[in-house]
Amino acid sequence: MTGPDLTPINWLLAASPVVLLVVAIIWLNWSAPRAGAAAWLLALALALLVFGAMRDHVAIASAKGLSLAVFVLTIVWTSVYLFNMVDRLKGIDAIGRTMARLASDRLVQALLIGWGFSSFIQGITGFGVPVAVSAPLLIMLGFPPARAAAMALVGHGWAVTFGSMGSSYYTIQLVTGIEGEVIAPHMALLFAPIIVASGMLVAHIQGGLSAVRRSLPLVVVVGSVMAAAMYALAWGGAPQIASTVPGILGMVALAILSRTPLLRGAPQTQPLPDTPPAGAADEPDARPMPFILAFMPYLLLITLSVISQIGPVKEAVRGIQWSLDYPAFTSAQGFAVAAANDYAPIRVLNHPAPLIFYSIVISAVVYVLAKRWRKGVAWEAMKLTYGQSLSSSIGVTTMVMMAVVMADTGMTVLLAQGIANVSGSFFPFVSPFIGLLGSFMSGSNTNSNVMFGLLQLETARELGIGTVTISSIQSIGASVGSPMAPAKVLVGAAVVGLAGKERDIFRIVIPYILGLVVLAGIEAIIIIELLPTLSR
Amino acid sequence: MLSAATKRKLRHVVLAGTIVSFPLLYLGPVTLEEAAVTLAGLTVGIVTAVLAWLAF
Repeated sequence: MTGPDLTPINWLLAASPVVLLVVAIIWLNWSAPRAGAAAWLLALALALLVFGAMRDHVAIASAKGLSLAVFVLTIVWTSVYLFNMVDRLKGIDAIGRTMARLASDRLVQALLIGWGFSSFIQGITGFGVPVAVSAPLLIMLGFPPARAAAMALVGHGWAVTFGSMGSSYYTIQLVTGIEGEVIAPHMALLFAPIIVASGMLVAHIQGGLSAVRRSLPLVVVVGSVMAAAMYALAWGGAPQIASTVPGILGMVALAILSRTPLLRGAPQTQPLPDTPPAGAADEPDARPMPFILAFMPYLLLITLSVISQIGPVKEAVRGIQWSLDYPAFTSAQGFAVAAANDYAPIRVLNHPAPLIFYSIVISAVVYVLAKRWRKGVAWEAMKLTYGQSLSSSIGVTTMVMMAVVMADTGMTVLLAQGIANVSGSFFPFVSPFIGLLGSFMSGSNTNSNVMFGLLQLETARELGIGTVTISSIQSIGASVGSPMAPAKVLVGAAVVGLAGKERDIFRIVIPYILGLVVLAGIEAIIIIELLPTLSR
Repeated sequence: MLSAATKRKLRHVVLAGTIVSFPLLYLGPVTLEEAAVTLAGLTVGIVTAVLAWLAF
């Protein structure tokens, strides 16, 4: 693989689609689909005019991008639909209120909802829904609006990569081409300190240093339980639920262990209001849904995910999948791209989208039988899902197309060579900040992985350091950084009634998020420079 | 430049254009090896990207 020469002009040209993306989103205030479309067009023009790609090459690279987009977006659409369906039947409200009743202590409530529940919601959906659901619950419990939004934002950042049924994780895995059984457990291991630190930060937002001291043993133990669950699921081949299950276990562990001496000091209590959340009374059927029925679709999903990993089941459905084969090609500048068979496969029992679809169908039948179904819910959820997902779908698609065009025409390798030459041994610390930059400007861990995943991998390869570690750190930086994205903060501000005062939330959130990204950078330095045997 | 209502309508067109471009971009260079289909795919993709720039 030779490809374009590393000259300052070539490097600047190769960087220009990414620079355009950053400038357009951060300075020009363009939306992700607008910026993504412009960046794809620029990448296309550069590939054809500067980097020696033929018409067929850019068409194949763009089609590959669309294959990747289908792979990721089917997860997004089905998970958002499931959430909307359960929400329209008042299930999410029932789950949230049950969580709130698990504890009366203010600090435990903050941890339970801001750290555990928001992460569980991130596990099953995404797109700002964790903050949209958790922040109103915290306000309902009497927390100040800006702090409520900040707790929900900071508390769920660790759950983003394996959240949304693993869409960001699958993206980094696909973009880098690293086997799932290699990168998933490694990434989960690196997430462990981040999970514990997120709990401490939520405690700090709630009550300052005294709350951190009071909850330290509790947060360390519960965070360890969550981290162990994430590792076990990532190692066991179920990364799509590696945020959902730790989120649930975290809530259960918090509810139980907060009644033990692990939580120090006298409890700070406040009675739970009985009033239903705003807007609920306007619904035609205000009957609250029992918790077990509300939670059933997600239990079903977890069960199906476990069943899908059983050897004989896996074997029986092996080969039942949708995927495309792409041929090899070489650009006029000698950059060779290998053939890709079964590219971005959607397997009937080994891809989250079909599993979520089965959950939706079975749950709908159960709700009908239990007389909890309401006519029109399926259509309402469909319309809501379409409205919520359209913009992000176009954003993801255009950015993925841009990223693959850049990768398949040698631009990404060129960028990586330049970064490797400049940053040297300091690169592991810089790596999570690149992930943060991607999710900050696009509002999405998935988009960040698409934009920078391959760049990070190639840079690590140039420097001769752990490609799996750096690819993991890219996604971790993007994951914990995504709650700082304006798109998410805007959602937070809107649901807590601070629209137009987003600065209040940014002011609280930014130092905490930067702290988590620095922690990820320190982890990368320690593993790569000091403990190279752990690096992969 | 465009009214909010026009932008909303255009967004559906962008989704449709994206969906249409996929089979063209794949079939043209890979299955059919037909330059006209590839060109059609790229044209639909580029027009869709311009519409996305206008609509979002």
